[in-house]
This record gives sequence, C-alpha cells and structure tokens, in this order.
Amino acid sequence: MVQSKIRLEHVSASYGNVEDQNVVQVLRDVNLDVREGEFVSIVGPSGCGKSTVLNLAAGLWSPSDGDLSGSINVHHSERKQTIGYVLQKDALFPWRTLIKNVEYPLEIAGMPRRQREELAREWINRVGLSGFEERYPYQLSGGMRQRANIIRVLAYDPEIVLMDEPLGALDAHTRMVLQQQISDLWSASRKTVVFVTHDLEEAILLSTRVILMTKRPATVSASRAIDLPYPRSIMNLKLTPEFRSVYENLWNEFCGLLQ
Amino acid sequence: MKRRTSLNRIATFVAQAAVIGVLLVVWEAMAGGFGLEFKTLDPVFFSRPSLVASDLYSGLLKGEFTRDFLFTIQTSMWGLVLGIISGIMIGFLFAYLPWLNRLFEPLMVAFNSLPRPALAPVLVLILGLGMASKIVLSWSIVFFIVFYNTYAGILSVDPDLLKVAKIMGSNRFQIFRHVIMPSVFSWVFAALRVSVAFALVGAVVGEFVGSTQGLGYQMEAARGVLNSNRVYSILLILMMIGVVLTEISKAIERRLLRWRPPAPGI
Ligand SMILES: Nc1ncnc2c1ncn2[C@@H]1O[C@H](COP(=O)(O)OP(=O)(O)O)[C@@H](O)[C@H]1O
Ligand SMILES: [Mg+2]
Repeated sequence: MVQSKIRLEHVSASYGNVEDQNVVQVLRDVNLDVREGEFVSIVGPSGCGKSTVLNLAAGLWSPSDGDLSGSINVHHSERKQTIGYVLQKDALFPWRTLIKNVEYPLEIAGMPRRQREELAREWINRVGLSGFEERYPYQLSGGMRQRANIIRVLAYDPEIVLMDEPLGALDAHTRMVLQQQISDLWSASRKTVVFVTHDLEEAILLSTRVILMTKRPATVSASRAIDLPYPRSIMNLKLTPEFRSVYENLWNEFCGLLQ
Repeated sequence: MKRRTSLNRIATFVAQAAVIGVLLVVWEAMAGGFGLEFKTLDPVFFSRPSLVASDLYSGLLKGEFTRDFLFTIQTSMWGLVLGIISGIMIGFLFAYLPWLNRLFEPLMVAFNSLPRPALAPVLVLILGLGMASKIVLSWSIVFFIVFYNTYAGILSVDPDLLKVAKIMGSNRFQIFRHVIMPSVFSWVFAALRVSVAFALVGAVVGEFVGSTQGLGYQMEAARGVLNSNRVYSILLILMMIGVVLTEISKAIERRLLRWRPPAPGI
C-alpha cells in the first residue's frame, strides 16, 4: 500500500473576515489525496485557488488569512526540511548571489561550507547556470532566476516538492528545456510532486496524474491518471499519437466540466 | 567607445571647472579685485575670492581652524552614530510592538514635524554651551530619518522571502538574521547620505546658537567683528567637510548595497 503524503478532506477556505464584508470563498469541499511517488499536476482557471491549495499543503495558512475548515494531513518524517515549495514568483534573496541563494537551505540544515558549495555548484551546472554563480538576482534574466528558484528547492532534497507555475513566465524554448529537466529529475528520484500549471499540455507531459479544479469557489472536479511510460522525452512525446489522444480526451472532458 | 567616454568625462570636468572659475572671477571683479575702483559688492560684506584664499591659507598654516574643525566633526559624528543606533533599535521595537507604536505615534509625529533648529536654544539652555547640546541636536535629526527608514524596512519585507525562509526550516533568529536585517539595512544605508548631511547641519546650528567652540561658533564670532574673510573661509571648510562625508557615505552605500540594481538614469 503506497503511503498517502498529502491528504485534504472536505477543505473549504475563504480569505478575509466577515467584519469587513470582504470575504472571498476560494475553496469549497476540496478532496485531494497525493500518494508517495506521484507527480500530480493541478490545472484550473487562474484565480481559482491553486496557489491556495499549495499554501495549505505547505502549512502556510494562518488564521488571520481567513476561515478554514476540513482536515489537512501532510505526512513526512521528522526532518526539518521535508517540504520544498517553488513559489510562483521567484523569491530569491536579492542580497545573496546565485550560489549563496542555492546554498541557503543547506546552510540552514547545517551542512559544512565546502560540501554545500560543491552541491550548489553541481545543481547550478545541471541547469546550465555555470559562470553566473557570483551574480546577484538583479543581474540574471527571468529564466535564469526561475531556474535558480527551482534548484534552490531541489538541492536540499525535500520529501515533497510543491511547484506553483514554475515555468509560467518563460519563453517556449527555456520552458521545454526545463520541462525535460524536471521530468528527468523526477523519473530518477520518484519524489512526491504537486505541480500547479494552467497549461494542460505541460500537465500531461510531466505527470502521473492530472487534477482539474473548477472556477471559484473551487473544488476538485476530475482526477485522471496519465499512463505514459517514463523516462519521457518531452519533445518526442508531444508528437506521439498516444499523447495526442490523451490530450484530446482530457481537453474535451475538462472543457465540459468547466462549462 | 571607451575613449569617447573618457574624453567626454575630461570635457565635462573642464566645463565644470570653467563655470566655477568664471563665477569666482566675476565675484572677484565685482568686489573690487584686479585693481578695479568700481565696487558693486562691498568687500566688507562680500569679501573677495583672493582675500578668502589668503585668509584660509594663513589660517590653516597657523592652525587656527584645527580645534574648531575637530569639535564640529566630533559632535556631528556622535550625533550620527547615536542617531543611527537608536533609530534602528527604536524602529525595531516599534515595528515589533504595534501597541507601543500606537502609544507614541502622536508624539513622534509632533517631534518630527518640529523644525529641529528651533530646539537649539532649548538644548543650549538645558545642556549648556558644551558638546552635549550639539550632539543631541544632531541626533534629534538623524534619529527620525533612521527610525522611519528602519520601521518602513521592517514593514516592507517581502512576504514571499519570509515564506521561503520559513519553509526551508529557518528558525525565528535565522529569519531575523537572513531576511529582516538585510532588508532593514538596505533602507538604512540608502538613507545614510541624508543622515550624514543632517548630522552636520545639527552640529553647526547648535554652534551658532550657543557654543565656545566649533566652526559654527568661529563663524559667528567672525561675523560679530565683521571679519568677512574668515566667515567665507569657514563656509568653504564646511562645504569641503560636506563633500567629503557625502563621498564617503556614497562609497559605503555602493559597497554594501551592491546587490541592488543601479538607479535608472533619468
Ligand atoms: N491573501 C489573500 N487575501 C485575499 N484574497 C486572496 C489572497 N490570496 C488569494 N486571494 C484570492 O483567492 C483567489 C484564489 O487565489 P489563488 O489561490 O492565488 O489562485 P490561483 O493560484 O489559482 O491563480 C483569487 O481570487 C485571489 O484573488
Ligand atoms: Mg497562483
């Protein structure tokens, strides 16, 4: 029996409080079960509450945000850094160089300087950022910053990785390169990943399962396994009839559900 | 390309020097220099660049400025350092204890709205003619600049950075050390130049009002005996101090805030 890593049961959430009459109900009766080793993508119209779901899973909801009901269970070991969260906006420390940014979580984990520098370099190299180690975030392009944002999380090897539209703002080429990298990394490590995107194609290419969220107040309205073998070549997979048929089926189904 | 920019820079420098030169020559001529009989500016009040230069030169040789120079530098630096330290501390205190902020807000607003030179007579009355009254005046200006910047710096910490730091397992101290402090210091150092300039203002104004030492005091004394050459000499020294301090704080700012994108040109 594969262990359930993230389980949301009957979760409803709304921002704001009743007094200022500014309550926005975002989630209504959301049920979600992410199992160990799954790569789950969440798709849905923008503003429907995808980021909110990730924040809940990451334990970042605070009572001052608004009302929350239902149960949220995230299973992980006793280690301190069990969750990795790649935020939608690259949240690099502006006062740290690229390499120091990647080193940050390793520093917090108490890894010795030499070792963490080496590990950071390895990851920087892996996503083609070598030579930019000593640059500050403002000296990097958007694509480079987003890559740094991703490897900073992967480098500390969390048990659960949450990614919020990490490739949303990139050009088509960089985007495909990174999709391939994410896919390769995942098929090698089989971590538990929850990946938010508004791009159905990307969701299918990367995931073992795709979940559809409806408009606000959102609920999970469909969950479909993607039975395509790994390792996947993003470029080639897109051209196969298997992919096209999965894509068309889901597209039609999801369009129907969003009506 | 490189050569053109360096040529450009030299040309700019020459032009800037020429502007100053022309102004000095006009001043000299209008105040009866170059053996001219017709004086538009009475040298008793306006002195003359050549007279100022020779007064400055002989004054420097005889060391007539040294004591007052050191006094002014010392008071303004004390005001600056104390203002920065207390501004940061109180800024943190108020940002972390909102009720304290609410309690003192009217008082802070009132004091900050007060034209600070108006405090000088009061401070001299209470603290006397010595260094203390000037330090406090200088501090009272710097403190508010640093206080408000610290406060704003804490409130404007990027919430996403806090999120990231928290998720990555940072404890409260690490969040303070790695997220809040750098953010606050970027605000405080960005205000360093202004703080330094105002520290000097505080010191000099204090010396005008009541003192037995300092460049401001010496200037006031020279004015009393209509020694306009000396008045302008001291003005020049104060200008130099201001320029040097500004350049030093610019260098510190550049060094410590090198992670910031350079300000866009207009
Ligand atoms: N902190 C907040 N306060 C109030 N409303 C919020 C807050 N965060 C998000 N919202 C609202 O909740 C809805 C869902 O937001 P979000 O989860 O970010 O959607 P998505 O990631 O799917 O685009 C949006 O309508 C947004 O305006
Ligand atoms: Mg979002």
